[in-house]
Amino acid sequence: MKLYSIYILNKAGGLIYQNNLDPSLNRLTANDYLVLAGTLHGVHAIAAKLTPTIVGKDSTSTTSGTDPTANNALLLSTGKVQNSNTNKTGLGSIETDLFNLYVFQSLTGIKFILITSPNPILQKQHEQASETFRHLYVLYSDYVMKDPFYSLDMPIKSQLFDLKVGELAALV
Amino acid sequence: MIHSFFIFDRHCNCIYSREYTNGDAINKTNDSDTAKLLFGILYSLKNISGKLAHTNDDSGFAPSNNTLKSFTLGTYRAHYLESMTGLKFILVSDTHIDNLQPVLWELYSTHYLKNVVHNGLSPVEFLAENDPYSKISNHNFIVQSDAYIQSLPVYR
Repeated sequence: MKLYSIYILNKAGGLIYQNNLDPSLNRLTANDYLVLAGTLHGVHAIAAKLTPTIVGKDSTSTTSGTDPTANNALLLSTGKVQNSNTNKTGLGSIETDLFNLYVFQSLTGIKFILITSPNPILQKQHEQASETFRHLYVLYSDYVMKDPFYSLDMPIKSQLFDLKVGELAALV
Repeated sequence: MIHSFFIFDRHCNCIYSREYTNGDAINKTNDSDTAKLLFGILYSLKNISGKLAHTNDDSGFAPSNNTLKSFTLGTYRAHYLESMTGLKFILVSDTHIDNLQPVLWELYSTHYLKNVVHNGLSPVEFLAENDPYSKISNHNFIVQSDAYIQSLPVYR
């Protein structure tokens, strides 16, 4: 598995970080990247709605945040507002002829997107991708969230984070 | 395990949908929202995959576009095949099935071609929703494609 690109989306679907590690993919304009990020964000939300209806019966995972009375009870008991973006079962991955794309959403709604080389053995690559996501999340927590000059949901400009992501990509 | 099977025509209408949720009990649903959402996702992802990469072989032909093969939605995976005429075949399975491209091709090249395209009584263009001819109602196609899908080792 070879990493082509890494994107990070904030919880509103805005592209806050992109790193094109490999020139195998087409280079798009800055605007197209924003559109791409927005599209993936939208598809993820639609996918979360779609999954229960396809099977109809055993859908317990995605509906947790949708019941208003349960939400209110939670709000009253804990004082915390339920984040509307807690669905974790949206779009997971895309497989195409020339690349695979993986999406991981953190509990806070940040989406990490990996674009990798295609691989016929998907199951193995899924494991590799989730491993990479774990490392990436750790890097994000350490070098972006702990950066005192970083403001939330804004583009990530940290050079240190760039460097660490480069190191991670070299290892994969 | 295979959950459902959809066909969309080139005008984005869902012309066939079948659900295999309960194993034996096959129910034909009239729920068109699922199909619409699925088509919306498919359309966006197809655009993305075409935009992000293309093969640049210098054989003189136009660069062949990158084709979408499958995508996972939570715990399900949708497998996708588009024919040259713009028909879209979608099989929804669980995530453990890696590749159903040969199955989709078989459904198109054997069952669809033989029973729907070669059938003179079947309409060439299926009409929009709420019309009696908006879906494939060909008995042979339904029976044969169901039998084929249910005979697959990955069906259950």
